[in-house]
Amino acid sequence: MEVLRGFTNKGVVDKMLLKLTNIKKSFNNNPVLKGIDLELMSGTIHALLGENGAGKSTLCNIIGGVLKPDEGEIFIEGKRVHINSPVDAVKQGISYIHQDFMLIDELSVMENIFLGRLFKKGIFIDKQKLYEETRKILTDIGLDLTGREKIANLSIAQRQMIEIAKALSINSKIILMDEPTSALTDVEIEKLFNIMKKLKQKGLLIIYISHKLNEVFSICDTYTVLREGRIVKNGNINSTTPEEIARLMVGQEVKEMFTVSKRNISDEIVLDVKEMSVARYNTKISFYLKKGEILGFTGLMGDGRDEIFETLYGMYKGKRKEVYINGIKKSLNSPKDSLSNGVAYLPRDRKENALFPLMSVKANITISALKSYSKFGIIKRSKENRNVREIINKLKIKAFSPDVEVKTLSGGNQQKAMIARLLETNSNILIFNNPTQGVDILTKKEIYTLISDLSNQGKSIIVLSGELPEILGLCDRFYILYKGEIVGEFKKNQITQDEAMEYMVGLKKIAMN
Amino acid sequence: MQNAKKFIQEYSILIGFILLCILASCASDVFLTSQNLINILRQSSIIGVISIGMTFVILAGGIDLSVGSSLALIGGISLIIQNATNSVTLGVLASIGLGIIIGIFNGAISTYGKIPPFVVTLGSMAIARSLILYISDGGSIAGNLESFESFANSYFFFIPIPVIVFVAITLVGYLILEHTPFGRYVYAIGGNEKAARLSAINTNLMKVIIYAICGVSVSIASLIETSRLNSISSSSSGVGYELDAIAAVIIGGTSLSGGKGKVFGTFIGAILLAAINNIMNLINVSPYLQGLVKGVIIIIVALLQKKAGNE
Repeated sequence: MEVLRGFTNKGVVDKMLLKLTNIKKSFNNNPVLKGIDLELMSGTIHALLGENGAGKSTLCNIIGGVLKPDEGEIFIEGKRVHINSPVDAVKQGISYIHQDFMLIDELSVMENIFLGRLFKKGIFIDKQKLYEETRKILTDIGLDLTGREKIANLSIAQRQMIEIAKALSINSKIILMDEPTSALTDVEIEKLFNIMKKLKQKGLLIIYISHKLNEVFSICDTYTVLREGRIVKNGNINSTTPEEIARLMVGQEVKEMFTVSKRNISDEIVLDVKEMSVARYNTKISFYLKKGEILGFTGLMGDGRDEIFETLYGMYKGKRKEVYINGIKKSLNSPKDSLSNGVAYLPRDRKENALFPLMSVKANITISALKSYSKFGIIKRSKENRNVREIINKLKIKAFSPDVEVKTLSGGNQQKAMIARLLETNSNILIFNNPTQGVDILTKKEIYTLISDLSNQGKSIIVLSGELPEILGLCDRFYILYKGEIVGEFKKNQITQDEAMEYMVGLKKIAMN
Repeated sequence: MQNAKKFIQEYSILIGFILLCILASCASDVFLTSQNLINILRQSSIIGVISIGMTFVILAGGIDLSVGSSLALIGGISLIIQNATNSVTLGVLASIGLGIIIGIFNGAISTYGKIPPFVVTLGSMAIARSLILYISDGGSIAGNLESFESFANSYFFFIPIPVIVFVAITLVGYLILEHTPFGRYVYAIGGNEKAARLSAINTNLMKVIIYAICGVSVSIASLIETSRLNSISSSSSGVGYELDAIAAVIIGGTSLSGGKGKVFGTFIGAILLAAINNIMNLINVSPYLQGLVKGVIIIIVALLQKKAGNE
C-alpha cells in the first residue's frame, strides 16, 4: 500500500484516509461489532447509519480511542496505528465530538479551544496569542464570537461550533460527529452544514452519525449502514434512497409509522389550564385537553415547552397557574400532588431527568407507584415482580432480567422502561416530553402505537416534541409555541409541515383569546 | 466465568474478610477463640451502629461529618438529664430526641439552604463539640445511675448487648433499605436527584429524614459508649468516629457518590475495621501503624470499586 508522505489537508482530496480491517468488539461475551471492514476517503462526509444498538457508537468509540477493539487493525493514510486512548486519537488527527459536549462551562471560548495546549510566555499564559489564534479559527468557521466569552453564556449551537473549532485547532484530519443536530434549530443546522462543506473542501473526512435521514441525504456523500454489528451496505448516497436506507437499517420494510385508528374523543374536558404564567418570557398561556385526545405541543428549542409543563407538574413552587381537572380546581403543588390527581409526566432527556442508571429495571419502573405495592410500609415483592413482568412483556422491553441495572439496556429499551414507569402510576392524563428521543425506528413506531392505544383506552395524552412529522402524524390537535406563547392551534391534517414551520419560527401567528 | 467474576465482585468485601480471618488465625492462636471474636464484635459495635446510619446518608449522595462530636454532645446531655431526673428512660429519650434534632438540623440546612452537606456537617461538628466542652467545662460528665451502666456491660447468652444492638440495627437498616418505598427513594435520590424529584419523590423531606435516621443511629451509639464507663469525655469521646464510620461504609462497597451499596457490606466493613485493629494488637504491631493499614485498605477498596465500575 502506498504511504502518503507530506500529507497536508489543503487541496488534497480523494486519498484513502481511514481504513479499518476486521474490527471486532464484544461486551460480556456479547458481540457488538462482528468484523467491520471500511475504507474512507479524505474530503468526504460519510454517514454512519443504523438503529440503536447496531454498533455505530461502539465503532466511533474505537476510532476515537475511547474503546479498544478486541481484534482488527486501523490504518490512517496507509499507516497502521494503535489508538489506545482519546489522547492517541488526537495525536493521529482524529477529533470526536460527542453528543454531550466536553466543554468546561466556566472557562472562556479560547481556553476551551486550546485546553491542554495553551500558549505560554514564561510560566504565564500568552493571552494575546491565544486570543489571536482563536480569532483566526472562529473567523474561519464563520462564528461571530469573541474568544473571551464564557462557554456558559453560549447557546447549544454555538457550543457545537466551539467543538468543531477545537477539532480544527489541532489540525484534525478526521472528525467524528455523534448526532450533532439533535439540539439545533433549522437555521443553526444550515450553518453547521455550511461549515461541514467547507471542511470537506479542505480535505477532511467527517464521519456523521444521525437518525435523521433527510439531513443525511442533504449533506453526506457516502454512507454505511450497520445492523447487528455488521455492515449491511455502503456506497454513494446518490445511488440510494431514504426508503432503501430505512429498510436496510431495520431489516424489513418500515410500514406506515402511524397506525390510523378510529379516534374516540369525547367532548369532556379533563384538563383546563388558564392563564399560566411562563416566567422566562413573561407570557401567559391557556389550553385544554379532552378525554381520549392526543394533544401536541411543538416549537423550536427555547419555545418554553419544558418550563410550561414542569410548572404544570408542580416542579416550581409559587408559580401562578389556574388548573382544572375534570372541572375541579386543583393546585398541583408538587409532582406528588400531580400524580395523586392523575397527572403523570415523562420528562425530556432521560439520562438527565428520568433514569436511575444504577437501579434495576424493575426499581426504575415502579419508583413512582411504590405506594400501590406496599402494605404496612413494606413492598410486596411478589406483586411487584408480577406486574413488572407483565409490563415488560406488554411493552416488549428487552432485558436479560428485570433485576439487571437499567443502564445495561439499549436506549430504546430504556425509554420504554421510562414509559412503563408512567403507565404504572395509572394516571389518566399522561404527558410525554420527547417520547421518542434517541430511539430507533422500530421502537419509535412501537411508542406511537402505544400512545394511540392508550388514548383509545380513554387516557388523555399530551405529546411535546420538536419533530414535526411526529406531531402531525400522531396528534388529534396541536398547539405551536413561539417564545412562551401559543401562536397557533390546529387539527390533524389542517396544515402541512412547511406551513407549521412558519409558525414555529415566528413568521406567522394566530391571535389567541 | 462471567458469573464467577460477578460473584467475586459482589461479595469481594466478604471474601476479603474471610481471607483476612484465615491469615489472622495462622498468625495468632488467640484470634479464632470465641472470646476474641466476641471482643472484635463488641469493639465494632459503636462505629458499626453509626455506620449503618451513615450508609443511608452516603447512599443518598450526602455525608455527615458531625457524628463523632454529636455522639459526645448527645451522651453528655443524656447523662446530665439522667442525673437530674434519676430516670434512665428520660435519659434515653433525651438522647434519641437530640439525635433527631441534630439530624433534622443537618438535613434541613443542607437541603432547604442548598449548602453542600460536607460544609453544613463540618459546621455542626464544630458546634456540637464546642457545646459539650462548654457544658462540661472541658472535663468529663459521669452518670450516677448504676442501672444505666449495666446496659452495655451485660450479656445475653454470652453475647454482649452492644453486639446484639449492632446486629438489630443492621437488620432494621436492611429492612428499610431493601423492603420499603422509603429505601428505594434513598437509592433514587443518590442515583439521580432530579429524576427522583420528577418521579414524584419529595426529595427535600426524604433527605431531612435520612439525616434524622443517621442522628438516631448516633444516639444509639452514644448510649452504648456512655453506658460502658457511665461517663463521657467532652474532649475525647467520639473523636475521629466520623472517619471510621465513613471508612466502614466505603470498605463495605457503598459508592461515595451515592446510589449504590448495601447495609450488609457496611456491617462487614465495620467488623473488618475492628478485626484489623485486633489482629495488629495480637501480633504486636505498633498501634501507631494501625492507621496506615486502615488507610491502605480504604484505598485498595476504592481502586477495586473504580475498576468494577469501569467494566
